Amino acid sequence: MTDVLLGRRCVSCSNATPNPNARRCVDCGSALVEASLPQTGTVWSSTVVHTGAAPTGLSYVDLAGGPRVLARFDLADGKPVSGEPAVIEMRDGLPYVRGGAS
Amino acid sequence: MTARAYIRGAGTSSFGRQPAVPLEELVSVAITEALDDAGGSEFDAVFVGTAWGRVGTAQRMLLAAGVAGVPVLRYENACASGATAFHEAVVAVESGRFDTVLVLGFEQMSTVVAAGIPAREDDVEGRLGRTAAALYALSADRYIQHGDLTPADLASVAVKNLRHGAGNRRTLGRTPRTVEEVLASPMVADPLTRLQCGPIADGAGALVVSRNRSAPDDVAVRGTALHGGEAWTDRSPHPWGFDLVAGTAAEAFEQAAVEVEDIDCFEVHDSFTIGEVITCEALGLAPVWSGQSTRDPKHSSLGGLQPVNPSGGLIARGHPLGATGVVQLAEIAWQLRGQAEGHQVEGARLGVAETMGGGASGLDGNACVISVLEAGR
Repeated sequence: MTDVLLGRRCVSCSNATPNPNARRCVDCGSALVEASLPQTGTVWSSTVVHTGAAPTGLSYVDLAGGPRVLARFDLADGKPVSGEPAVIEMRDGLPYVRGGAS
Repeated sequence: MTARAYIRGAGTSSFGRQPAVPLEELVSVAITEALDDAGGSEFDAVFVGTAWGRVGTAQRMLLAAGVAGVPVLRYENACASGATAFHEAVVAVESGRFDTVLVLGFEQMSTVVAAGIPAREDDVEGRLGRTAAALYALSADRYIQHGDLTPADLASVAVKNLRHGAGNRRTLGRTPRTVEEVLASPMVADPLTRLQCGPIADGAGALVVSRNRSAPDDVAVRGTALHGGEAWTDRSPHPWGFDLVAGTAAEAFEQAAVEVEDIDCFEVHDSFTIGEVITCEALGLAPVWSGQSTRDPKHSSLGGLQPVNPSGGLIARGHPLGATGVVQLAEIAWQLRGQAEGHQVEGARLGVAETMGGGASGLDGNACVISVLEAGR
């Protein structure tokens, strides 16, 4: 398992996506290659989903320079507040938000 | 103003959890009512909207409803599947490909999902547990933090629509609720509580769409637009789906040569309360991020100047995906013919139906369909 948030980045215009299976850039049509994404950013919003086996915290985080990615948060850390700075760290291959809680 | 097409007949099943009722029965009831309403059973093709239906489901349902021997085309656009079938039917009769098309939408949700539209393992956000409710909840949280909207404002959308639904004999949610009751219902994805989510429901709807008017009260289709979402990223200053709905509305309103102020009633995609808020703002009924539509019930309630979801919407009816868009259009057609018993908007002459389909992560929406309908007389 990597500690790095991986996504795909356009070889031509640098547009990035968190989708590991994306192959062409939606902006310019050029090839996408695997790339590490920034792991600092700003919380866009957060919710706790209560319909699964256990409550799951989810946040959209606008990474510095883009893109917007979805990440989990640990409920024990508190709910990340929109507009607050946040850091993404990988746990068991999944992105988690650290910080941003009020 | 010339019409692109006419709606000659509309019909629906009742809505609710009815897993023991064969889907064939729901489909047959909707088709029979629509054809009786149209005063004739002739059509040249069937355009079907269903999202979850398996291979061949459309033809199987149609044969059981006594329909065979015509081309059947099936459309999948998530929640907008039925509305897409309608849009394509209008284009098909307008272009002369067919004279008359039977539009059918159906879904038996109670047999395929447990509580709500689940997260998908093959979607980059779905694998993290992002359900349909979570997607809307993430916009709702942003509104509450940065816009002008409180949880009670959001709940008031459900209160309005459940009050409207109490007057609609076809709908599941017939029980009016208070803001306190809506907020106290179990949390689904905060800030959205159970009563702010369109419930799981089974149902079907049908419309007869024709190139020519056959009766004075046939409803004119003055405009209909289908758009696909752009990539939704941090570069958009708007909540999820706003840009897609706004762009679709601009095209539909331009075709129909109307402004939003001209419209007498709206059926909009309130699969979750926040969906109605975003849609009203994207349609131009209120400024973006203002939440204003929730605080002006005299405007948007039955009896108000521009009622939104007089049928009760998805919050009251439930959300059988493929049926939803077709039923929204049927509801507007009944409004314009003065036949919306129990929830009539008096004197309605122009109505709008808006259906939003979404779920593919990274997109501002899978599809949006907006139609402007006008009374025949």
